[in-house]
Order: sequence, then structure tokens, then C-alpha cells
Amino acid sequence: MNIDLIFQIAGIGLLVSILNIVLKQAGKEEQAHILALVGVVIVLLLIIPTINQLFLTIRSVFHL
Amino acid sequence: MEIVRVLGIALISALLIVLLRQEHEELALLLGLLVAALIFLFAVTRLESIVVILQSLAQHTGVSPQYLTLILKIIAIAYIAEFGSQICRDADLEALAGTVELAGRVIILLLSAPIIVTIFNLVLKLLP
Repeated sequence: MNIDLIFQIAGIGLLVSILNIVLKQAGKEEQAHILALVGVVIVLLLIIPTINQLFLTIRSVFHL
Repeated sequence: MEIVRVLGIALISALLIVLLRQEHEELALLLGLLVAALIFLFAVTRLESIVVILQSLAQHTGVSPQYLTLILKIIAIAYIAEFGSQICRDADLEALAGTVELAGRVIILLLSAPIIVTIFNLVLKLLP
């Protein structure tokens, strides 16, 4: 049960929202949207190993 | 106890998800997916001993192993379909959740079709 992954993703989310506000004030609207996309991609990359481990565990437990 | 730990993790991540939801709906959904997967992983690893007990019982009572593996496969499909449909419901996609559940039911029905046929044959034989 690695809990640090949860806090990493929460941290990334907060960072992205803060940077979004900063970028909006600096007038760079399009960078803000690109940043949001980058945040989603990073979080996805962090999540995929856990989902993969989940399905492998289910496969091993139920002898599929 | 373990349940307290799981509850703690669930509550903390629920707070984080609600915090993230104002700004970024998609990140909140991804975090929810991650926490659901972690707790599901925690639960499934605990299920291992139950499966071992089931198999030993099956050997003692003489149930043929192919039926037990089928039951385990159906249980796994039910869990995964439920997991997927709840995540879709989390994202307010009721129709998608419904279709995932329908797919799960169809797959389970397909798997259990031969068993239904054997049961019918058995019943017909019993009747005079």
C-alpha cells in the first residue's frame, strides 16, 4: 500500500492549478491549457504501473 | 487494525480529490481511480487465502476442479466489471457504467452457458 503515490499526484494537481493561475495572470492563456494537459499525462504515467499491478494480482489470485 | 488504515487512506484521499475537483476535474478522477485501485489491490491480496481454502474444500468434497476454476473466473470478472462501472459512475457517466456492467454480465453468461446445458441434461435424465 504505497501511500506516497497518492500524495505525489495530489501535489502535482495543486502545482498545476497554482501554475495555471500564475500563467493566466501573465496573460499566457494557451500555456495554461498545455500545462493542464501535461499534468494529466504525468499523472497517467504515474498511475499505469499500479493499475497493471492490480490486474496482475487479480490474475494470479484467481488463477486466470 | 487494517480496516482503520484503509479508512484513513480513503478519507485523506477523498479530501484531496474534493480539493482537486474544483480546479481540475480530470486529475480528481485519476486520483480517485488510483486510490480505488490501491484499496482494491489491498482487498484482493487478502482474498488469496480464501481461494486456497475453497480449492482444498473442492478436493475434499470431490467437486471437479474445472467447475471451481470457472467459479473463480466468474468472480474475478464480476469484481473487475464492478470496479470499472463504479469508476465510470464516479465520472458521472451513467450510460458508460451501464454498458460496462452489461458487458460483464454477457461475458459471465457466455462462460456459464455449458454449465447450464449440463444442468438441463441432468434434469431431463432425472425426469421419468
